[in-house]
Amino acid sequence: MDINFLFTLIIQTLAAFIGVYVTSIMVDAPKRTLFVSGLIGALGWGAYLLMRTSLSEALNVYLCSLGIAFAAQVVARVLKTPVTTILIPGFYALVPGVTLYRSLYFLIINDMENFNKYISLAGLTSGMIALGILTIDSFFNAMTRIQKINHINKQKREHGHADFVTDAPDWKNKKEI
Amino acid sequence: MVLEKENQLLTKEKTIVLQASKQEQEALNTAVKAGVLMISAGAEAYRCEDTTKSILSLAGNEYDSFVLGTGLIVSLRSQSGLPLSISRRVKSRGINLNVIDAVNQIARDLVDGKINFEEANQRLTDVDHPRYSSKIKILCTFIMTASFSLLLSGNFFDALGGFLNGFLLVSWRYFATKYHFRPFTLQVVAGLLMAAGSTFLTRYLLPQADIHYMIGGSLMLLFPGTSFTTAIRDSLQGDFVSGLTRIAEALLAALGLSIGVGLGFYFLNHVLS
Repeated sequence: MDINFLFTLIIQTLAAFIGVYVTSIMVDAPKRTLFVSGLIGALGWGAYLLMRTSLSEALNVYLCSLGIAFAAQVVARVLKTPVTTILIPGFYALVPGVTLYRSLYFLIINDMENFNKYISLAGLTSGMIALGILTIDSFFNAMTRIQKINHINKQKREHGHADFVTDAPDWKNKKEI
Repeated sequence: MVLEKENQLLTKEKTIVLQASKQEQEALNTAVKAGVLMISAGAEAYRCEDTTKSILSLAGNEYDSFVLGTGLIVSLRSQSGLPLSISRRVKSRGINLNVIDAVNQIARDLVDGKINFEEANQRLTDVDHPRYSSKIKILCTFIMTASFSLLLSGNFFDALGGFLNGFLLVSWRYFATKYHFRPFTLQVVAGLLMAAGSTFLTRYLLPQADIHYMIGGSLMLLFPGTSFTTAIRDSLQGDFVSGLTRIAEALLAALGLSIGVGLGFYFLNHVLS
Protein backbone atom coordinates (compact mmCIF):
# COMPACT_ATOMS: atom_id res chain seq x y z
CA MET A 1 0.00 0.00 0.00
CA ASP A 2 1.72 3.15 -1.10
CA ILE A 3 1.51 6.45 0.72
CA ASN A 4 -0.50 8.13 -2.00
CA PHE A 5 -3.32 5.61 -1.71
CA LEU A 6 -3.30 5.92 2.06
CA PHE A 7 -3.64 9.68 1.76
CA THR A 8 -6.62 9.35 -0.62
CA LEU A 9 -8.19 6.78 1.68
CA ILE A 10 -8.00 9.07 4.71
CA ILE A 11 -9.23 12.13 2.82
CA GLN A 12 -12.16 10.30 1.22
CA THR A 13 -13.19 8.55 4.41
CA LEU A 14 -13.22 11.91 6.20
CA ALA A 15 -15.22 13.41 3.34
CA ALA A 16 -17.67 10.50 3.55
CA PHE A 17 -18.10 11.08 7.30
CA ILE A 18 -18.75 14.79 6.86
CA GLY A 19 -21.00 14.22 3.84
CA VAL A 20 -23.14 11.60 5.55
CA TYR A 21 -23.32 13.58 8.81
CA VAL A 22 -24.46 16.68 6.95
CA THR A 23 -26.90 14.72 4.79
CA SER A 24 -28.53 13.28 7.90
CA ILE A 25 -29.11 16.84 9.08
CA MET A 26 -30.68 17.64 5.71
CA VAL A 27 -33.18 14.79 6.03
CA ASP A 28 -33.98 15.82 9.64
CA ALA A 29 -32.50 12.80 11.37
CA PRO A 30 -32.78 12.73 15.18
CA LYS A 31 -29.75 14.25 16.89
CA ARG A 32 -28.64 11.07 18.62
CA THR A 33 -28.21 9.20 15.33
CA LEU A 34 -26.13 11.82 13.48
CA PHE A 35 -22.67 10.75 14.63
CA VAL A 36 -23.37 7.04 14.30
CA SER A 37 -24.76 7.24 10.79
CA GLY A 38 -21.78 9.38 9.76
CA LEU A 39 -19.44 6.76 11.18
CA ILE A 40 -21.26 3.89 9.45
CA GLY A 41 -21.23 5.71 6.12
CA ALA A 42 -17.53 6.56 6.45
CA LEU A 43 -16.51 3.01 7.43
CA GLY A 44 -18.58 1.59 4.57
CA TRP A 45 -16.90 3.88 2.06
CA GLY A 46 -13.44 3.16 3.51
CA ALA A 47 -14.03 -0.58 3.20
CA TYR A 48 -15.23 -0.10 -0.37
CA LEU A 49 -12.04 1.80 -1.26
CA LEU A 50 -9.80 -0.78 0.42
CA MET A 51 -11.37 -3.73 -1.37
CA ARG A 52 -11.74 -2.03 -4.73
CA THR A 53 -8.39 -3.21 -6.06
CA SER A 54 -8.75 -6.85 -5.08
CA LEU A 55 -12.45 -7.64 -5.57
CA SER A 56 -14.89 -7.29 -8.46
CA GLU A 57 -17.17 -4.26 -8.31
CA ALA A 58 -20.34 -6.29 -7.72
CA LEU A 59 -18.96 -8.39 -4.87
CA ASN A 60 -17.34 -5.34 -3.31
CA VAL A 61 -20.56 -3.31 -3.24
CA TYR A 62 -22.49 -6.33 -1.95
CA LEU A 63 -20.08 -6.93 0.94
CA CYS A 64 -20.03 -3.23 1.88
CA SER A 65 -23.80 -2.94 1.87
CA LEU A 66 -24.02 -6.10 3.99
CA GLY A 67 -21.77 -4.42 6.55
CA ILE A 68 -23.63 -1.11 6.48
CA ALA A 69 -27.07 -2.73 6.76
CA PHE A 70 -25.93 -4.98 9.63
CA ALA A 71 -24.41 -2.06 11.54
CA ALA A 72 -27.58 -0.01 10.96
CA GLN A 73 -29.82 -2.77 12.32
CA VAL A 74 -27.67 -3.27 15.44
CA VAL A 75 -27.29 0.44 16.15
CA ALA A 76 -31.01 1.06 15.65
CA ARG A 77 -31.78 -1.55 18.29
CA VAL A 78 -29.29 0.02 20.71
CA LEU A 79 -30.53 3.59 20.17
CA LYS A 80 -34.21 2.50 20.09
CA THR A 81 -34.99 4.22 16.81
CA PRO A 82 -36.51 2.96 13.54
CA VAL A 83 -33.89 1.32 11.30
CA THR A 84 -34.75 3.74 8.50
CA THR A 85 -33.25 6.71 10.33
CA ILE A 86 -29.79 5.14 10.12
CA LEU A 87 -30.09 3.03 6.99
CA ILE A 88 -31.01 5.90 4.66
CA PRO A 89 -28.09 8.24 5.50
CA GLY A 90 -25.71 5.27 5.80
CA PHE A 91 -26.06 4.40 2.12
CA TYR A 92 -25.68 7.93 0.78
CA ALA A 93 -22.01 7.49 -0.07
CA LEU A 94 -22.54 4.21 -1.90
CA VAL A 95 -25.65 5.06 -3.96
CA PRO A 96 -24.60 5.29 -7.64
CA GLY A 97 -26.12 8.68 -8.37
CA VAL A 98 -23.07 10.03 -10.12
CA THR A 99 -22.63 6.94 -12.27
CA LEU A 100 -26.21 7.31 -13.45
CA TYR A 101 -25.71 10.99 -14.18
CA ARG A 102 -22.51 10.27 -16.08
CA SER A 103 -24.14 7.58 -18.23
CA LEU A 104 -26.88 9.98 -19.30
CA TYR A 105 -24.29 12.64 -20.01
CA PHE A 106 -22.56 10.25 -22.41
CA LEU A 107 -25.94 9.50 -23.97
CA ILE A 108 -26.42 13.20 -24.66
CA ILE A 109 -22.99 13.60 -26.29
CA ASN A 110 -23.63 10.39 -28.29
CA ASP A 111 -20.81 8.31 -26.80
CA MET A 112 -22.61 4.96 -26.79
CA GLU A 113 -19.69 2.86 -25.56
CA ASN A 114 -19.28 4.85 -22.36
CA PHE A 115 -23.04 5.10 -21.94
CA ASN A 116 -23.37 1.30 -21.94
CA LYS A 117 -20.47 0.97 -19.53
CA TYR A 118 -21.80 3.45 -16.99
CA ILE A 119 -25.48 2.53 -17.18
CA SER A 120 -24.71 -1.14 -16.55
CA LEU A 121 -22.41 -0.11 -13.68
CA ALA A 122 -25.21 1.96 -12.14
CA GLY A 123 -27.72 -0.88 -12.47
CA LEU A 124 -25.26 -3.35 -11.00
CA THR A 125 -24.38 -1.16 -8.02
CA SER A 126 -27.98 -0.39 -7.13
CA GLY A 127 -28.95 -4.04 -7.53
CA MET A 128 -26.15 -5.15 -5.24
CA ILE A 129 -27.10 -2.56 -2.61
CA ALA A 130 -30.67 -3.86 -2.80
CA LEU A 131 -29.45 -7.44 -2.37
CA GLY A 132 -27.33 -6.46 0.63
CA ILE A 133 -30.22 -4.73 2.40
CA LEU A 134 -32.49 -7.65 1.50
CA THR A 135 -30.13 -10.25 2.97
CA ILE A 136 -29.65 -8.49 6.29
CA ASP A 137 -33.33 -7.53 6.60
CA SER A 138 -34.40 -11.13 6.01
CA PHE A 139 -31.89 -12.37 8.57
CA PHE A 140 -33.12 -10.00 11.29
CA ASN A 141 -36.73 -10.69 10.35
CA ALA A 142 -36.11 -14.42 10.79
CA MET A 143 -34.49 -13.79 14.18
CA THR A 144 -37.47 -11.79 15.47
CA ARG A 145 -39.87 -14.44 14.12
CA ILE A 146 -38.00 -17.17 16.01
CA GLN A 147 -38.08 -15.07 19.18
CA LYS A 148 -41.79 -14.39 18.84
CA ILE A 149 -42.82 -17.97 18.13
CA ASN A 150 -40.62 -19.25 20.96
CA HIS A 151 -42.24 -16.72 23.29
CA ILE A 152 -45.73 -17.93 22.32
CA ASN A 153 -44.77 -21.59 22.67
CA LYS A 154 -43.27 -20.92 26.10
CA GLN A 155 -46.48 -19.27 27.24
CA LYS A 156 -48.47 -22.22 25.92
CA ARG A 157 -46.27 -24.66 27.86
CA GLU A 158 -46.44 -22.68 31.10
CA HIS A 159 -50.03 -21.47 31.15
CA GLY A 160 -51.69 -23.89 28.78
CA HIS A 161 -52.60 -21.02 26.46
CA ALA A 162 -50.93 -18.02 24.86
CA ASP A 163 -51.96 -14.40 25.14
CA PHE A 164 -54.29 -13.16 22.47
CA VAL A 165 -52.01 -13.09 19.43
CA THR A 166 -52.71 -10.22 17.08
CA ASP A 167 -51.18 -9.15 13.83
CA ALA A 168 -49.83 -6.03 15.53
CA PRO A 169 -46.18 -5.96 16.63
CA ASP A 170 -45.55 -7.22 20.13
CA TRP A 171 -44.36 -3.89 21.54
CA LYS A 172 -45.42 -4.62 25.09
CA ASN A 173 -42.78 -7.33 25.34
CA LYS A 174 -40.22 -5.24 23.41
CA LYS A 175 -39.77 -7.99 20.86
CA GLU A 176 -39.60 -5.95 17.67
CA ILE A 177 -38.03 -2.68 16.75
CA MET B 1 -100.18 -2.36 22.13
CA VAL B 2 -97.68 -4.42 24.04
CA LEU B 3 -96.04 -5.51 20.84
CA GLU B 4 -95.64 -1.89 19.72
CA LYS B 5 -93.97 -0.98 22.98
CA GLU B 6 -91.60 -3.88 22.68
CA ASN B 7 -90.77 -2.88 19.14
CA GLN B 8 -90.04 0.67 20.25
CA LEU B 9 -87.76 -0.60 22.98
CA LEU B 10 -86.00 -2.84 20.53
CA THR B 11 -85.30 -0.07 18.04
CA LYS B 12 -84.21 2.22 20.83
CA GLU B 13 -81.84 -0.40 22.11
CA LYS B 14 -80.46 -0.94 18.64
CA THR B 15 -79.66 2.73 18.14
CA ILE B 16 -77.96 2.86 21.50
CA VAL B 17 -76.02 -0.32 20.93
CA LEU B 18 -74.59 0.60 17.54
CA GLN B 19 -72.41 3.42 18.79
CA ALA B 20 -68.71 3.86 18.95
CA SER B 21 -67.30 4.68 22.35
CA LYS B 22 -65.15 7.75 22.83
CA GLN B 23 -62.04 5.65 23.22
CA GLU B 24 -62.62 3.91 19.92
CA GLN B 25 -63.10 7.17 18.07
CA GLU B 26 -60.02 8.62 19.71
CA ALA B 27 -57.96 5.58 18.79
CA LEU B 28 -59.10 5.82 15.18
CA ASN B 29 -58.30 9.54 14.95
CA THR B 30 -54.90 9.13 16.57
CA ALA B 31 -54.03 6.21 14.29
CA VAL B 32 -54.98 8.18 11.17
CA LYS B 33 -52.99 11.19 12.35
CA ALA B 34 -49.92 9.09 13.06
CA GLY B 35 -50.26 7.24 9.75
CA VAL B 36 -50.57 10.41 7.68
CA LEU B 37 -47.54 11.92 9.43
CA MET B 38 -45.47 8.81 8.76
CA ILE B 39 -46.43 8.56 5.09
CA SER B 40 -45.67 12.23 4.47
CA ALA B 41 -42.32 11.76 6.22
CA GLY B 42 -41.41 8.96 3.82
CA ALA B 43 -41.70 5.91 6.11
CA GLU B 44 -42.06 2.41 4.70
CA ALA B 45 -45.59 1.07 4.30
CA TYR B 46 -45.13 -1.82 6.72
CA ARG B 47 -43.83 0.48 9.46
CA CYS B 48 -46.84 2.70 8.98
CA GLU B 49 -49.18 -0.28 9.17
CA ASP B 50 -47.50 -1.60 12.32
CA THR B 51 -47.79 1.76 14.07
CA THR B 52 -51.44 2.34 13.17
CA LYS B 53 -52.36 -1.24 14.06
CA SER B 54 -50.74 -1.08 17.46
CA ILE B 55 -52.62 2.14 18.24
CA LEU B 56 -55.90 0.56 17.10
CA SER B 57 -55.22 -2.54 19.19
CA LEU B 58 -55.86 -0.40 22.29
CA ALA B 59 -59.52 0.00 21.36
CA GLY B 60 -60.65 -3.36 19.99
CA ASN B 61 -59.79 -6.75 18.63
CA GLU B 62 -60.97 -6.42 15.05
CA TYR B 63 -59.01 -3.78 13.18
CA ASP B 64 -56.85 -3.36 10.14
CA SER B 65 -54.88 -0.74 8.30
CA PHE B 66 -54.03 -0.59 4.63
CA VAL B 67 -51.22 1.74 3.63
CA LEU B 68 -50.19 2.67 0.12
CA GLY B 69 -47.39 5.02 -0.76
CA THR B 70 -49.97 7.70 -1.50
CA GLY B 71 -52.61 7.26 1.18
CA LEU B 72 -54.07 5.04 3.85
CA ILE B 73 -57.28 3.36 5.01
CA VAL B 74 -57.78 2.56 8.68
CA SER B 75 -60.72 0.56 9.99
CA LEU B 76 -61.91 -0.72 13.35
CA ARG B 77 -65.01 -2.60 14.50
CA SER B 78 -66.31 -1.14 17.73
CA GLN B 79 -67.33 -3.35 20.69
CA SER B 80 -70.95 -2.86 19.69
CA GLY B 81 -70.32 -4.16 16.20
CA LEU B 82 -70.34 -0.84 14.37
CA PRO B 83 -67.68 -0.73 11.66
CA LEU B 84 -65.63 2.48 11.66
CA SER B 85 -63.29 3.53 8.91
CA ILE B 86 -61.33 6.57 7.78
CA SER B 87 -59.35 6.95 4.58
CA ARG B 88 -56.90 9.73 3.79
CA ARG B 89 -55.01 10.72 0.69
CA VAL B 90 -51.46 12.03 1.17
CA LYS B 91 -50.34 14.30 -1.63
CA SER B 92 -47.11 15.91 -0.51
CA ARG B 93 -44.38 13.50 0.49
CA GLY B 94 -40.89 14.38 1.56
CA ILE B 95 -38.30 12.84 3.78
CA ASN B 96 -38.14 13.66 7.46
CA LEU B 97 -36.51 11.01 9.60
CA ASN B 98 -37.14 12.90 12.81
CA VAL B 99 -40.92 12.64 12.31
CA ILE B 100 -40.64 8.87 11.78
CA ASP B 101 -38.61 8.51 14.96
CA ALA B 102 -40.91 10.75 17.02
CA VAL B 103 -44.19 9.17 15.85
CA ASN B 104 -42.73 5.73 16.54
CA GLN B 105 -41.83 6.83 20.07
CA ILE B 106 -45.28 8.35 20.70
CA ALA B 107 -47.03 5.19 19.54
CA ARG B 108 -44.83 3.07 21.80
CA ASP B 109 -45.53 5.31 24.81
CA LEU B 110 -49.24 5.10 24.04
CA VAL B 111 -49.19 1.31 23.84
CA ASP B 112 -47.16 1.10 27.07
CA GLY B 113 -49.79 3.23 28.81
CA LYS B 114 -47.39 6.05 29.64
CA ILE B 115 -49.59 8.67 27.94
CA ASN B 116 -53.28 8.86 27.07
CA PHE B 117 -54.88 9.67 23.73
CA GLU B 118 -55.17 13.38 24.46
CA GLU B 119 -51.46 13.76 25.21
CA ALA B 120 -50.60 11.61 22.21
CA ASN B 121 -52.68 13.83 19.95
CA GLN B 122 -51.00 16.91 21.37
CA ARG B 123 -47.54 15.44 20.82
CA LEU B 124 -48.46 14.38 17.28
CA THR B 125 -49.53 17.94 16.53
CA ASP B 126 -46.24 19.32 17.85
CA VAL B 127 -44.05 16.80 16.05
CA ASP B 128 -44.22 18.48 12.68
CA HIS B 129 -41.87 21.31 13.58
CA PRO B 130 -38.53 21.01 11.79
CA ARG B 131 -35.70 20.01 14.07
CA TYR B 132 -32.94 22.07 12.51
CA SER B 133 -33.16 25.72 11.53
CA SER B 134 -33.08 26.61 7.84
CA LYS B 135 -29.74 28.46 8.33
CA ILE B 136 -28.06 25.27 9.50
CA LYS B 137 -29.62 23.34 6.62
CA ILE B 138 -28.34 25.83 4.04
CA LEU B 139 -24.86 25.64 5.54
CA CYS B 140 -25.14 21.86 5.42
CA THR B 141 -25.97 21.98 1.70
CA PHE B 142 -22.72 23.81 0.97
CA ILE B 143 -20.67 21.40 3.05
CA MET B 144 -22.43 18.43 1.53
CA THR B 145 -21.84 19.39 -2.11
CA ALA B 146 -18.17 20.07 -1.34
CA SER B 147 -17.61 16.81 0.53
CA PHE B 148 -19.34 14.67 -2.09
CA SER B 149 -17.17 16.25 -4.76
CA LEU B 150 -14.16 15.14 -2.69
CA LEU B 151 -15.69 11.70 -2.22
CA LEU B 152 -15.89 11.12 -5.97
CA SER B 153 -12.08 11.42 -6.00
CA GLY B 154 -12.18 15.07 -6.92
CA ASN B 155 -9.49 17.46 -5.69
CA PHE B 156 -9.66 20.66 -3.70
CA PHE B 157 -10.77 22.76 -6.68
CA ASP B 158 -13.65 20.41 -7.44
CA ALA B 159 -14.77 20.72 -3.84
CA LEU B 160 -14.65 24.51 -4.09
CA GLY B 161 -16.67 24.37 -7.32
CA GLY B 162 -19.20 22.06 -5.68
CA PHE B 163 -19.42 24.49 -2.79
CA LEU B 164 -20.21 27.39 -5.14
CA ASN B 165 -22.68 25.24 -7.09
CA GLY B 166 -24.41 24.46 -3.83
CA PHE B 167 -25.32 28.12 -3.57
CA LEU B 168 -27.26 28.01 -6.87
CA LEU B 169 -28.98 24.81 -5.79
CA VAL B 170 -30.02 26.20 -2.42
CA SER B 171 -31.54 29.36 -3.88
CA TRP B 172 -33.47 27.42 -6.52
CA ARG B 173 -34.71 24.88 -4.00
CA TYR B 174 -35.85 27.66 -1.69
CA PHE B 175 -37.75 29.31 -4.55
CA ALA B 176 -39.31 26.06 -5.76
CA THR B 177 -40.48 24.90 -2.34
CA LYS B 178 -41.88 28.35 -1.59
CA TYR B 179 -44.22 28.16 -4.59
CA HIS B 180 -44.84 24.38 -4.36
CA PHE B 181 -43.57 23.42 -7.79
CA ARG B 182 -43.80 19.84 -8.94
CA PRO B 183 -40.77 17.67 -8.10
CA PHE B 184 -40.13 17.12 -11.79
CA THR B 185 -39.95 20.87 -12.48
CA LEU B 186 -37.60 21.28 -9.55
CA GLN B 187 -35.29 18.55 -10.79
CA VAL B 188 -35.14 19.61 -14.45
CA VAL B 189 -34.40 23.23 -13.61
CA ALA B 190 -31.90 22.15 -10.95
CA GLY B 191 -30.10 20.08 -13.59
CA LEU B 192 -30.07 23.03 -16.00
CA LEU B 193 -28.69 25.32 -13.31
CA MET B 194 -26.00 22.83 -12.37
CA ALA B 195 -24.86 22.50 -15.98
CA ALA B 196 -24.82 26.27 -16.49
CA GLY B 197 -23.13 27.01 -13.17
CA SER B 198 -20.38 24.43 -13.51
CA THR B 199 -19.66 25.35 -17.12
CA PHE B 200 -19.34 28.98 -16.10
CA LEU B 201 -17.07 28.07 -13.20
CA THR B 202 -14.73 25.87 -15.25
CA ARG B 203 -14.49 28.45 -18.03
CA TYR B 204 -13.88 31.59 -16.02
CA LEU B 205 -13.14 30.94 -12.34
CA LEU B 206 -11.72 27.48 -11.71
CA PRO B 207 -10.16 26.10 -14.89
CA GLN B 208 -8.40 23.38 -12.84
CA ALA B 209 -11.65 21.78 -11.71
CA ASP B 210 -13.30 18.76 -13.38
CA ILE B 211 -16.87 19.48 -14.42
CA HIS B 212 -18.14 15.95 -13.69
CA TYR B 213 -16.96 15.80 -10.10
CA MET B 214 -18.42 19.23 -9.49
CA ILE B 215 -21.86 18.38 -10.89
CA GLY B 216 -21.89 14.94 -9.29
CA GLY B 217 -21.23 16.43 -5.87
CA SER B 218 -23.96 19.04 -6.16
CA LEU B 219 -26.52 16.66 -7.63
CA MET B 220 -26.10 14.20 -4.73
CA LEU B 221 -28.51 16.45 -2.86
CA LEU B 222 -31.34 15.81 -5.31
CA PHE B 223 -30.66 12.17 -6.12
CA PRO B 224 -33.43 9.86 -4.99
CA GLY B 225 -31.32 7.60 -2.77
CA THR B 226 -33.92 7.65 -0.01
CA SER B 227 -36.84 6.58 -2.21
CA PHE B 228 -34.63 3.83 -3.58
CA THR B 229 -33.77 2.40 -0.15
CA THR B 230 -37.38 2.60 1.00
CA ALA B 231 -38.59 0.95 -2.22
CA ILE B 232 -36.37 -2.06 -1.59
CA ARG B 233 -37.53 -2.49 1.97
CA ASP B 234 -41.18 -2.07 0.97
CA SER B 235 -40.98 -4.71 -1.76
CA LEU B 236 -39.20 -7.05 0.64
CA GLN B 237 -42.09 -6.87 3.09
CA GLY B 238 -44.55 -7.80 0.36
CA ASP B 239 -45.88 -4.26 -0.13
CA PHE B 240 -45.25 -4.36 -3.85
CA VAL B 241 -47.59 -1.50 -4.65
CA SER B 242 -45.75 0.94 -2.39
CA GLY B 243 -42.42 -0.43 -3.56
CA LEU B 244 -43.25 0.12 -7.21
CA THR B 245 -44.61 3.60 -6.42
CA ARG B 246 -41.32 4.58 -4.87
CA ILE B 247 -39.22 3.00 -7.62
CA ALA B 248 -41.23 5.02 -10.14
CA GLU B 249 -40.61 8.12 -8.00
CA ALA B 250 -36.86 7.45 -7.94
CA LEU B 251 -36.66 6.77 -11.68
CA LEU B 252 -38.60 9.92 -12.50
CA ALA B 253 -36.31 12.00 -10.28
CA ALA B 254 -33.17 10.57 -11.87
CA LEU B 255 -34.60 11.15 -15.36
CA GLY B 256 -35.58 14.72 -14.53
CA LEU B 257 -32.11 15.56 -13.27
CA SER B 258 -30.39 13.95 -16.23
CA ILE B 259 -32.64 15.66 -18.76
CA GLY B 260 -31.94 18.99 -17.10
CA VAL B 261 -28.17 18.48 -17.10
CA GLY B 262 -28.18 17.07 -20.64
CA LEU B 263 -30.20 19.98 -22.04
CA GLY B 264 -27.98 22.46 -20.25
CA PHE B 265 -24.81 20.92 -21.68
CA TYR B 266 -26.28 20.69 -25.15
CA PHE B 267 -27.21 24.35 -25.23
CA LEU B 268 -23.97 25.55 -23.70
CA ASN B 269 -21.66 23.44 -25.86
CA HIS B 270 -23.44 23.34 -29.22
CA VAL B 271 -25.69 26.36 -29.44
CA LEU B 272 -24.07 29.16 -27.46
CA SER B 273 -20.37 28.46 -28.01
